[in-house]
Amino acid sequence: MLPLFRYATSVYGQTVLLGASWDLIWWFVGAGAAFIVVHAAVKALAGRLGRSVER
Amino acid sequence: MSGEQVLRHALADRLYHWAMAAALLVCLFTAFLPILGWKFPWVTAHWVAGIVLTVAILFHIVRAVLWQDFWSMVPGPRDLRSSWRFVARGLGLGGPPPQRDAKYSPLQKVFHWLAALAVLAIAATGLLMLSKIDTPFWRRNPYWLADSQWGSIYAIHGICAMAMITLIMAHVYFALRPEKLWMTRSMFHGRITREDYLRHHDPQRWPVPEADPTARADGGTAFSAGE
Repeated sequence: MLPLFRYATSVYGQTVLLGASWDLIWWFVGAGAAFIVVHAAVKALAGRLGRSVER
Repeated sequence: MSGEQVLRHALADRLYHWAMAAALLVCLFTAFLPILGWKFPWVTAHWVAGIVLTVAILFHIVRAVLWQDFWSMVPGPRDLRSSWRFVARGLGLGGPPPQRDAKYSPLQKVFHWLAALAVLAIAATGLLMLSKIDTPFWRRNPYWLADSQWGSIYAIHGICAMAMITLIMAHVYFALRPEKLWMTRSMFHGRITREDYLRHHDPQRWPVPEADPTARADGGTAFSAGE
């Protein structure tokens, strides 16, 4: 499973939160790319359907 | 030309938009390029751009609350109704067409508040993180908060910064779409044509006296509403 956070072990042996996992970068980039592709495809399809109805 | 064109973004707002964009991009590049393997001294550029971003945000908040129509960016019942009509027609359910927008569309309002939430969280946590670095203005004090508290602050800062990548990708995509270029150009020179104003906006929800021929005949050329 994709880790959401980064952790370290302190000198007392405790688990300490360091911050967000940087592996998430590609998920956010992928979400942006997926949104763009889906929106562009829907707009292109809607435009094509609209033109065929007009004819 | 003022009779044929409508002011959409005043010079102060355009300067704010581009200053914020530049500062945010510097923050993102100096944060993520080193993580992705491109090593360079990034800390100074990052915190200086962060201060510029914070000052720009404060300017925008004060201007939006005191000098602009703050409520023009707040979603209302008409936005919900219009959005539903848009979705219903898109799904082939029919029904009345969506209403023309006020100054901003429902999606623009949603984007604005998502971006505002992320950027405000980035700025607030970034200001706290300034206490962990030496600058010409102060000495670092990394013991100000407990390790677990710093971890939460870093996590919020990082997640919101990564979310901004998604939001910026969507923002630039819409700005470059051919049917949106009339709006994008207004972020450079401030104005939209009167035809675009009447085609895309409801003059009753975003009244602009200079776009109204009767108002101009009465001498009402001054722009103020919804600026």
